[in-house]
Amino acid sequence: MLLKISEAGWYLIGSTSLFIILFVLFVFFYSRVMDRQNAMLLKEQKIRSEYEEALLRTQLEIQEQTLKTISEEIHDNIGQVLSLAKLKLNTLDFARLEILREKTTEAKNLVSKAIQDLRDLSRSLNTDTIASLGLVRALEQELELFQKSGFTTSLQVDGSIRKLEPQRELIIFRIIQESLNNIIKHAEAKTIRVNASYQETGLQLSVEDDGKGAPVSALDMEKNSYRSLGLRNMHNRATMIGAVFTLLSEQERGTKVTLDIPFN
Amino acid sequence: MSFYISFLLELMALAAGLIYYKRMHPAALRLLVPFLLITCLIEGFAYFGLFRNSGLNKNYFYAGFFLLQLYVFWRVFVCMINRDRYIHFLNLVFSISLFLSVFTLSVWGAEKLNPYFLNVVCLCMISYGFAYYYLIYNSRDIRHFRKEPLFWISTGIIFVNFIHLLFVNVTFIESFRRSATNTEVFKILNSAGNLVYYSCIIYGFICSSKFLKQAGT
Repeated sequence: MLLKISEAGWYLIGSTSLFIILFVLFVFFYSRVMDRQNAMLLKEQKIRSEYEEALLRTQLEIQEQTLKTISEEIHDNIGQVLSLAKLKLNTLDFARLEILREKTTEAKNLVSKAIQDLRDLSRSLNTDTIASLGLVRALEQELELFQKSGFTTSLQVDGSIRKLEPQRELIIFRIIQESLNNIIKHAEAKTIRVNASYQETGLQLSVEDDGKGAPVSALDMEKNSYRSLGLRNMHNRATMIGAVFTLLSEQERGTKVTLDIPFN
Repeated sequence: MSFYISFLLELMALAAGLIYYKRMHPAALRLLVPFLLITCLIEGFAYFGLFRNSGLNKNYFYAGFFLLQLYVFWRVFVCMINRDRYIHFLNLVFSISLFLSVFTLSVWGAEKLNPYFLNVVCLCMISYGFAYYYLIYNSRDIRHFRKEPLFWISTGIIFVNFIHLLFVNVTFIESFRRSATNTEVFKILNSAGNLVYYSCIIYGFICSSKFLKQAGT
């Protein structure tokens, strides 16, 4: 059937056709934009999940290391002190009052030292303490402990202190703590200098000692690739929070560990 | 002929609704099934002259049908969208449309097809559809929008209501109203609109039944 269409009828056909074309084009471009947006969101989600995975891995690593530190501290320090105290108590001779008094005092001092060591250990490992004190104060406390162990320590803070996210501060603190522990274990150093420089774009933290230097080749230092698991962990953790880890060491002239942490 | 195409599509959409009824997720979509049944009944009664034979004016039924359409789609969209901002927008659109519908019906009546009332209904339906488009565009979640029933339903209602809107407004032109062939033209265009609309509804039902499998529930 052929219809005789009036002008108004053509107007309707024309406008409907125009609408259909425009709508189809709209749906087509809308779909493309949505697909692009989805792809971008998917990418973002992947990056976020990778970051969370890395964060979790680091937390587990830190936990493992914390347990190791506790075990070492109990075995090497608190355990020894308490064993010695027990020895003193076992050899008490009640017939000789003078020696008895002396040994009791010594045992008491040893037990007090063990208690103090336990307190220090607990304070140094407690993540809540670090979060509530803030990075600089936590570093100060850590250095006080080193001072008690006979090291000469100093902490210099430049610029105005800016608080980072608690999770980042904890990871930074653990990296510094590990480099301090390395000094005790391997460096045979006398002096430890920590510098925290708060700049406009980020924080630069460095730990320097005057020990015998780390057994790391110049090439490893340049490439930031380390054979030591501890150094590798420190480097990986720093990378995870977007920081740059640098180690400079010279035989018999000491080691300097630097962390460059951007604020964003 | 064009009536049979539209009517067949309506029946197919109703059949799809009944087939997928139990598997439909979210359940709010089930509201469309009785609505499609009412659509088929009204269209069938009107075409086969049952209203006329009973001495009833079909336009009153159509007016009721369009009001029901406003309500049903508002419920479906509100139940399926979980963003407060959009729900507020839909509530606002629905309230304004309802008010304007009552107003236009009371002023111009429902004895004949009321173009002012139909404009309100079409604009309201188009707003529902575009609100959903805007929602998924602004969403920060990854959305497989082509598998979402509301995407297809929105596409269908925008498409068909825009064609209706064009028709309703062209009826304001005197020469259009005088020519009987123009009604035929509209019927053909309306069939094309219905083809897209009911296809989208059927595909929306299919997507809604697959939604459960995708979600792993």
